[in-house]
Amino acid sequence: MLSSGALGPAAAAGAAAACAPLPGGLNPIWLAQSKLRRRRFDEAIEICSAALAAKPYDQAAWYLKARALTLKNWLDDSEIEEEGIGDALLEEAGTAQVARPGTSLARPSGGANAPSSSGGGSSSPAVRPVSHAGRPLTGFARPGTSTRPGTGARPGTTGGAAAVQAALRGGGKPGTARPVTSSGRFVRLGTASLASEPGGPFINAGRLDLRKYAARPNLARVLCDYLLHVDNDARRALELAAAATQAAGFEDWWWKARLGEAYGRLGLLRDAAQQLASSLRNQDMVSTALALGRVHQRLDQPAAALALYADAAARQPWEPGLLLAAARVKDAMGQGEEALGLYQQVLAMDASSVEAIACLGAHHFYSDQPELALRHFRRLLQMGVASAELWANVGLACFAAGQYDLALPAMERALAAADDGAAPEVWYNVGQIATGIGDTSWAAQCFRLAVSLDPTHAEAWNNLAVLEARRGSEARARAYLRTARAAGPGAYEAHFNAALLAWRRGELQEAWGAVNAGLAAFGAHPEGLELRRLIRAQLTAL
Amino acid sequence: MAIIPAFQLHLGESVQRGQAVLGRFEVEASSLVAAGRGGRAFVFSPRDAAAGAPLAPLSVGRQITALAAGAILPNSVREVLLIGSSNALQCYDIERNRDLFFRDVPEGVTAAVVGSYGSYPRPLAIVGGNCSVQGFDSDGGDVFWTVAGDTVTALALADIDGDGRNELLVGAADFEITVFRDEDALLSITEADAIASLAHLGGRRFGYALANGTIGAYEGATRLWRVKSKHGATALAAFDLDGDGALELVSGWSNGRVEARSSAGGEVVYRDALGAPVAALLRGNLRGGGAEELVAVSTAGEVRGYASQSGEARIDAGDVSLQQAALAELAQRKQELLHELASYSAASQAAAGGGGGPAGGAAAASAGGGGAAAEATRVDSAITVNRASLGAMIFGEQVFEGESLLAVPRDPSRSLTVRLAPARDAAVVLMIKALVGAKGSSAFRVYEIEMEMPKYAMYAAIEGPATAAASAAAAAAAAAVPGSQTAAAGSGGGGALAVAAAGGAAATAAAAAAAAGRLGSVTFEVRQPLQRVAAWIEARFSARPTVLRADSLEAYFTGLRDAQPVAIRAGPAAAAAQSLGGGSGGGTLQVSILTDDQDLAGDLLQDLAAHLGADDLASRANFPAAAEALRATLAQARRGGGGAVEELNATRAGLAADAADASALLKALVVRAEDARLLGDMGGMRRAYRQLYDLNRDLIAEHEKRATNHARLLDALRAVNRAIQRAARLRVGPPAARVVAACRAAVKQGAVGALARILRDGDGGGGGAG
Repeated sequence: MLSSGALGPAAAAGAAAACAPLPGGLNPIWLAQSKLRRRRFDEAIEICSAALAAKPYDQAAWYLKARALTLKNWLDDSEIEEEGIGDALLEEAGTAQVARPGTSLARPSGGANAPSSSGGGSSSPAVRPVSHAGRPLTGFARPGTSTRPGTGARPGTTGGAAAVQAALRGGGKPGTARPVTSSGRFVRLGTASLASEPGGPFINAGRLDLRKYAARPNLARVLCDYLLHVDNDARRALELAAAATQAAGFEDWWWKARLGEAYGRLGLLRDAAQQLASSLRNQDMVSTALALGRVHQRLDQPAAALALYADAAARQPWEPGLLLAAARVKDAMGQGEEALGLYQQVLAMDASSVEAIACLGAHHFYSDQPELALRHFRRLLQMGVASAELWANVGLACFAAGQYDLALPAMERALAAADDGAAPEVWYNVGQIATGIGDTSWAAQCFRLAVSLDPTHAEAWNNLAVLEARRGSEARARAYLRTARAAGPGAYEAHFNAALLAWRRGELQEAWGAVNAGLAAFGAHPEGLELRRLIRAQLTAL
Repeated sequence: MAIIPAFQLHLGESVQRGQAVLGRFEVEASSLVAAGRGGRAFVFSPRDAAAGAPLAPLSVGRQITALAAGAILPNSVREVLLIGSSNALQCYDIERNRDLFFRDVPEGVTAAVVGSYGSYPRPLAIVGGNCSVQGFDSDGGDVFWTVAGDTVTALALADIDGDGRNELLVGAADFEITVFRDEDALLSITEADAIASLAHLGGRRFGYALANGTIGAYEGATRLWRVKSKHGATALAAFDLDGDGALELVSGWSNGRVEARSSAGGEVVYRDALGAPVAALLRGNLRGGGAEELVAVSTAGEVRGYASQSGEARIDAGDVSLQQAALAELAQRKQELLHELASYSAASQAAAGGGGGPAGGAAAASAGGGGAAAEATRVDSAITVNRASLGAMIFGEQVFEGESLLAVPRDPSRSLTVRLAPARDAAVVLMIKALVGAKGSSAFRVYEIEMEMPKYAMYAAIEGPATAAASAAAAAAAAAVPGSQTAAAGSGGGGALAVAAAGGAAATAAAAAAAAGRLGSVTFEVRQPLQRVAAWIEARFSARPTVLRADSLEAYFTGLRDAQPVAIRAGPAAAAAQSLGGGSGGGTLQVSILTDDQDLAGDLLQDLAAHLGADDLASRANFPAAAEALRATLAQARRGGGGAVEELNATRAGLAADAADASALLKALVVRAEDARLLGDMGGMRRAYRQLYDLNRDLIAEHEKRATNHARLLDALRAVNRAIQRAARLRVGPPAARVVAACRAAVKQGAVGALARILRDGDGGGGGAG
């Protein structure tokens, strides 16, 4: 692993003398290497810093320190794609802005944005609720899916400021007034990431002659990873990787994969795809395939990603990562049925895949098989996952399966485990249970708790309004509905309920606007369509 | 006659000229894809439109320069969309929302076509750019490459030679239509202006449109007809509109007119008018019925569809139009006769009044061409009648701007001299209408004279050093020729063509330079008798070559445009090649063309080869100046001065990365500013926006750099491609194709030395003494 054999014992001894607290007689480089292997990065960094202070051009120490820093900051992002709000809002990499239904991640088939002809199925919003951004709900929270706005909220089509605001709120946690400054992990505004480093940054990439490093493959690799993961300086990493690829005669898959990653960070997706595909041709690697698939998804070409995953899976038949990636794409496209088969295959290979179990559980729950769902959720509990969301799911599944005695204790546990983010959802679900057993005042209390924790919880506002309307106080119901509609434009129920109330009062114009807003969120809503027909008939009669 | 559209609709979006395609992107329905302003494209699908959905926009993010649709997918009739921009080609499957491939095309994409071509087993996506033509298969593999003389402006696939395989028609901005069969250039036609579009008319026929508003049709290499309009022809399509089984040439014009003309004669069969310039004429099945229809799209977004007329309607239409045509013809003849009568009566009055000259005397007009003065060719239109000529109208296709010239002398006299200076070398038939009449008379006679101008009229023959002895005799002959011709014209009374080769000021310096061998040269061998070469020189230059001995000749010219010397020598091939020492009749003839202008050399060689019927000709070329320029272009890459192809490519990648880095920062700043706004932190917001402003200014400056870099890259690529094309023009048939292929390989490997050698010797096997 060490690149330089030139390190003599004398030099090592000199370094040891400078670093006082070392156990006697130990070579500090050896010790740092050992610490690195044991993933005790901070200690390794400390030893190397001392060695470098004594001997600034010690390549071995430099190598180990760069490696330790990289590993400390490294995040396995082969399976997740986190997109900053800036990217989500301002990037228009996809070719089709309104693709054919079922071919784009921004336009899931059967989901909220589907045309009126192709509703139904288990992923219809009538059966399965959608997330804030109008995407089908899956059993597993993934980064990115909650922030990316659908087609309706593109800055080009609606007001730019409103879309930014919606996106900021979509990613925000309830309970704080502060919107998240979520620009993604990779943003560099200045060099804030290394400001805490005493004596300036460890490697000043701006001063390096990258071409010189490119000729030394071992140092160049560790430097490239350092630039990508610690410095987040994709521009420099790209320069280095380009020079190194050239030095390697355009045949080295590793450098091509890094080139692809750097291009992807910079948003030059076409170049990224080209490099990654070329790397795959040199060497068939799962991680490269996953990275290329992510690039395809960022280009909003899920079909290309799926074809790639299927291709790679045929070559690597025992790799659950590829199947999971394909299943995620299917889920995001609203093709839950097809994702199901993939999740089952994943479980056959990897029986402890939390994601597959959770998604299967959610699917069974929404396809009216709460007992099966309960078994999946129990399995998750057995595996040691104990989050508020899981307990709430267990509670809901118990309730749906008729095990009322178990439902409420599960909900209690969920409440106990819930933080500010999950609590409104749990209260909302408790409210659902209360509605289910007919205790409206308890339900109203729960919903009130939910909206007190999260004032933008559109569904809770909507349910509150329905309860108020049933109680006869229509004015209050209308006010709640107004709040719900403002909070969640994607929640079609609030629009429909508002339309219904307005229609009953005879305010046809208001009803017309509301019912159309609802149908824009969920085009195949049968009651909405019926109501629109009635309103239109009355308007034409007038 | 007017035609009634089968359907009419409005897209509500403007459409860029020439950028709309109709494709079968789903198996069962077609849709229309059109590009609007600023890199925006949209898909119009009738089915979605019926459901009330708006146009589906496509975001390409680059300025769209070409659109095409075609079935390139293996085992599928579904078509995909090709989107060309100034540096990339995207092959996009609309139905599946995925790219088939995305290729960087540094030459740019200015025209695109999809279809089966030549002997390639799979359909190709063929794109034309800056001096290059490339073909890609469905995986994006680069399978076909050749060069063109200039920016490719139109492409079409058609089986011109009737061998059952498609040839590729390439129309370029240098006025050439070249037909490629695989890698060979089958034939090349020079037109009068940049080619705007091409359309296959079935069989061996194809139609063309030029930038100057000319449309016409060819059958093979022969032109069937042509029509010129003052409006620009913006679109061309072949469609059987009258249902007679033969395709008509349908043209769309900048004034919104849509005309269908018969492919054989060019008569207008149908016409219609749109409210705005026609953007595209497309064939397809937009309404989803069984039959193919013609769809016209205007730049304002108006769409009209025309169905092929049924037989019944056609007969009625034919009757009416025939009657109308007959009526118009009769009326015109009546008018002509009336004018003639008026002219005769005016003449008899003049005679009665005592005016000189025989009444109604036969006027003789003669036109002499090719009289080479020092600075321009002259066509003398001498009217030898008793009355003064009032003027002459001369039509000649590539000679004048606007194709015709009306020459009216201020002081009418008996002869009229018009000076011609065609900008390009082309054999043109001049149609001269000489107007002759008495002074002050309102009626005059029109004499029509046709005169053929030789192709290389702009090169004046001069004396070579070797012909010094014979110069006196040659000059005497030259003087004698016009005299006799004039006499013939006087006696015959008809139009006579006088070809006079007047020896100009003997530019012996040029001839000496040629003799010294300082000129560039191309040398090749043909198995043809010397007489045929001599006949060619006589026909094309209207100058007799000097025959040195029985088996060799030479001719010297000077270009009248730039005073550059040109020399042609022919003689028996080197002694080593002539083993038996036979005469020039059966042996190999070695011909050299000496000039510094490589384009001219290529032109002469191609013309001579066509004249001699040679279809496989290798040559050795030596053009020191051109070779030096190319070496400089390529050598800049070595020096790293940022001048040539590889270096520019590297710079481009670096600049692109810089821009991407800055735009990532830009996004972060937008979000940060918006955060600050939501929080009411106005100071922070202002800071963020100030940074944003600075960054934006930097980005604009960066963009300027990128644009400059891109322009230089294009220039360098263009220079390389032009050099290859010129080298290919110096060979005929398979050797030319081999030169292109070898150059391509050399450029890819960066072998500069090999490139120079290929350009000189052909494919390496051709040249003997290296």
